[in-house]
Amino acid sequence: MLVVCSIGYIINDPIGGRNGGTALGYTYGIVATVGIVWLMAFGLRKRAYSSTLGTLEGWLAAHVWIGIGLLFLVPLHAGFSFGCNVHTLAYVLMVITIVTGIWGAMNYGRLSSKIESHRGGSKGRAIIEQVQSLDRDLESLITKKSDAFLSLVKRFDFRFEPGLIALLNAQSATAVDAKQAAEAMLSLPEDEREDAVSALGLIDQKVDLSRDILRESYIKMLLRVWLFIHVPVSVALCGALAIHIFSVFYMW
Amino acid sequence: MFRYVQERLSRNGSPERLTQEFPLSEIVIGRGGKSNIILTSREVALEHVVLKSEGGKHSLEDLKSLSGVRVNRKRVQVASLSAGDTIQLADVEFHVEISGEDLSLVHKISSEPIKSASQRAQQVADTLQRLQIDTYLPSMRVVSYVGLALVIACWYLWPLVSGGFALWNSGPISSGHSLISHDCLSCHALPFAHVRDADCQACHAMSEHSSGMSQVAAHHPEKTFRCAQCHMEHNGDLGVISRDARFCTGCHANLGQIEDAPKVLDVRDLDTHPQFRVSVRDGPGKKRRVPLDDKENARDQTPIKLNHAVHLKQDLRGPEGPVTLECNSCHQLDKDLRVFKPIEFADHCADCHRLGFDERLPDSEVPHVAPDEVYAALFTEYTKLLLMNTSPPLTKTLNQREREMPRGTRGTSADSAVTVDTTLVRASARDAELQLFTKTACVGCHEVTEKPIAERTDDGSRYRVTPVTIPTTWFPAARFSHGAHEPFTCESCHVGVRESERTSDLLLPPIANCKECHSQAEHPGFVTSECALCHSYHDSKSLPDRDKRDVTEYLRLLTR
Repeated sequence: MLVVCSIGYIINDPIGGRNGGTALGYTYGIVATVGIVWLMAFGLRKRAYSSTLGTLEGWLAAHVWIGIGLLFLVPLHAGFSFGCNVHTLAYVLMVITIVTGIWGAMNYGRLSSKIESHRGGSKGRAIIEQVQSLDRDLESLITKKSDAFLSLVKRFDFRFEPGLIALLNAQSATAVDAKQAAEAMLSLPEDEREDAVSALGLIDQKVDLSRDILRESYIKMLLRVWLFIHVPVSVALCGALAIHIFSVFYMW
Repeated sequence: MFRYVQERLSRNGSPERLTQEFPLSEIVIGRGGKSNIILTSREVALEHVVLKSEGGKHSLEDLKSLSGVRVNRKRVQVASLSAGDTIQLADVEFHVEISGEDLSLVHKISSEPIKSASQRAQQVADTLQRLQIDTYLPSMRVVSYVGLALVIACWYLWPLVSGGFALWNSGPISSGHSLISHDCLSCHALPFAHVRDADCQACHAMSEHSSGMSQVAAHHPEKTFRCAQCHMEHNGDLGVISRDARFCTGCHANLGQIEDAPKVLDVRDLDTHPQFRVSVRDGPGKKRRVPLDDKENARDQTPIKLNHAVHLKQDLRGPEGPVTLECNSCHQLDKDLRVFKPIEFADHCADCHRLGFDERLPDSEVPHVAPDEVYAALFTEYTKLLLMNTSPPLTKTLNQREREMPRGTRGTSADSAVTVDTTLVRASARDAELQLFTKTACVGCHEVTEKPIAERTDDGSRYRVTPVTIPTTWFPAARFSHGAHEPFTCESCHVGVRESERTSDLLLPPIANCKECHSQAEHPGFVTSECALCHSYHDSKSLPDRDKRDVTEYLRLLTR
């Protein structure tokens, strides 16, 4: 279809130059508007679980390909003339919407298989409960231990309270450095060294678990965050598109 | 005595105090089993601090703990205590209450020390929440609504309310309309309606274009034209005054399809442009258009005699010696540098072609005017000559004339003084007229015919000169600027001038000459030439001054 539209664009050489006001420009504009309405309808279709109006996979495929097609069709409609106006605003919003959509679709294709919980791995809740359990074990281990023991634990332990920075970086505490741990254990009383090894083992488990859940949360974040651009910008696009059509005919 | 008071809120929300008494003079607080008050915080040392009571005075001493001891937020090693002080051991805080010699350490515990299962579940849920990006971002719905509202407010409501529609501008305004580019409503006066012709003519009423368009409308009665259909704004300077050839070839490529079409040949483009055609006279009052390549018929019928070959010879006999003429000796560009000034006898011919008529009057010439006026001038000159009576040959001529007159027509002796004089003058003038018109002057360039006897009068000339109508331009429907072609010599286009002996030779260049440099399509080395390069669009006349609008009135319209 894009090839046909491009050939039509090249062949058609209207008086006054190619722009949205020519017969072909209006035609492409109507097609693009219908395309955008179709794309927006996907938001309704995906919530209509009982709908038999095509498969959701089919709708999604159409959603992606029509979106990509619009990236090229709309410039043909406008004759590649852009400016600082509501018409170009609509195009820019459409580009942002489509590009973020492509990014989201690529994320799904690339990352969704990497979510452990989708492959029978531990769910996030179970991991956090394990971390809590490890914390409790660690608390009981340090009870009535020497200050040196306590400082060793404090040196390698961390409190698992993930925030936005940790989520965006997908990084947690570093693993226990064996050499540093061995050196630190030399300062402990003999009777506490065995418990110290247990404590460091617990901390290592915490590090592993927190890394797992942060990695998974990062992937889930990537699968989600694009929507925060895609959806609001697409709504703004609808407004800009309506104003574009209104203004064109208001100033006919 | 020391008291350790744990203060917390019970499940029903009421404060609850749990007091532990130590009837000792000093107590140790720490995490270890040897401490009197045992804390579970991992930040607290096994033996963190010792509190002492002596003689009603209370003090504390840090037992070299890692995290230290703070009294009233200030880190101390040893400090005396008083009521109201705050003691911090790492993340544990005590409030000091003193009653007599008793010191109470109030430890406010905000929650149950041992978490319930539901609290742990809540903590898990909180952690899970912190691992979701949604927690840190505003609601997608809210952002959508706010974004939509912003777009509507900035790009819809603002233009409508403020009247500044720049944000709706669909393309660059042409430079010709730059003065009104800020005032969209000066053209788009009505919403949801095409730009009306009246809005265009509010400023462009001076244009003759409307009369030209009426010709087009006459051929297309079924079609109605709006100004904006052809003059497309918002496309920079390309659209408003378009030079697109299709505005012409839309009709002129196939005029046969148009009812009552003008009798001009079809033109599709410059390559198929027909040979230039000129209007030549075809009998009295009639004209005929003949293509330049029709050598037999394409001849100039203008009744003037000019031999270019003679005039361009070297060393012609001039009034002050030999003269060599060039093209621009006679053909001089007008001030618009496009066409030539008309050839005037006084300016271009009189130096060589003198209009003297009598050797006795070497300084007198007749003016280059109509025959009747020439005769009147001759009569006047001879009258003056007679009255001055300084010219014996005139008398002699008179006597000769009298002898030639039939008997009975000669003047009598009684009235001879006047009659003879008038007759003598008239006869001399007629002689000179005969010479001028038929032998020496006029006939050299003009078509001269003798008037029929019935039309002759005593005071008028006996000859008639066919009026000369040399066109200012041979192609009135086209524009051509000789000034723009100045780098080229005249003879590079007007071939054969030096060999042309007849006035009827049309020395105009054919279209093939133009095509040597001009091409409609873009070609390297060629001047891209649309129809409008040479032709106007159905109106080529300039508007009379009376119809032009004063600039102040124009500006007033702009600022209405």
